[in-house]
Amino acid sequence: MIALPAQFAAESSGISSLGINLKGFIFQLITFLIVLLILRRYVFPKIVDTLEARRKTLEQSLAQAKLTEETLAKAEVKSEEILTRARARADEALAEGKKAAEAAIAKAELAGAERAAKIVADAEAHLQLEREKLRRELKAELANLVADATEQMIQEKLDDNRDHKLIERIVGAIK
Amino acid sequence: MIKFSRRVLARYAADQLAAGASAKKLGDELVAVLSEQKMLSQAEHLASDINYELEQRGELAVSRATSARPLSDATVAEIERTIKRATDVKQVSLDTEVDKSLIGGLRIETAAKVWDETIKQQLANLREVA
Repeated sequence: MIALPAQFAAESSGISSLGINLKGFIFQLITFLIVLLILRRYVFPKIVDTLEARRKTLEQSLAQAKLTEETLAKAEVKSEEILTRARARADEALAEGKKAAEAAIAKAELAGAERAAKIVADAEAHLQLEREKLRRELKAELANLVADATEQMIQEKLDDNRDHKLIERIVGAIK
Repeated sequence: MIKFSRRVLARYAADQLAAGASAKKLGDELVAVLSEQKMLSQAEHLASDINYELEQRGELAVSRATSARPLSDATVAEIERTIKRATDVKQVSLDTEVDKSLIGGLRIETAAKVWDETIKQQLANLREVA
């Protein structure tokens, strides 16, 4: 039990008329202060530390989130650039492929045309040779036919008298 | 022994004949040479060569006239005269032959020249033109 000062006992009749129990108030006040001191010494630091740690964690998370957001934004920009370059390269490759295909087709067409022309030329040359050969054969055949016919005719027509005259003409022509 | 070519022997024989050597004696000599040189198989060719040399020298033309029908004596004489003129020789020795396959016309052959105006040859020429 705490001994209260005398002055406080003398004034009790004045404060008690207001309905306030001074002893109880002082007791509660002292209790409050003791609790406060205990809390302040043993509880508040821990709570403050915990809150501080949480605050730091939150701050770090926020900073990390911000950093991540920035990194993501940069990555998006970079990926967009990469995609743009890739599309451009794809377009170029497509154009080159198309161009190469057109060139190959043109070359094949030209080679085909040249080959066809050569085949035609060879065929014409062969035909010309065949025509010449046939012409020579026909000429020979005709000559043989004419000679045979002439021979037959001469044998029929040439008598002694005509042969004698022929011989005279031959001898006369020899110089 | 020196080996003589056919041409050399022919020239020798032609010179001897032109000089009036005996044909029989010359013939024996040539046979002996040919025999020694193992050239008897070429005797006929040597004879042709000798005729050729004689004709070239204007001495003698050994000739043959071939026709499809027999020739009259007048024609043969005319042919001899013609050969003499054409080959410019002193003498002509002419044989005649009949070959019906010639059909008509005349072929004259000497050692150095040939005149073939037979119908058969002309028909062959016609065939060759093709």
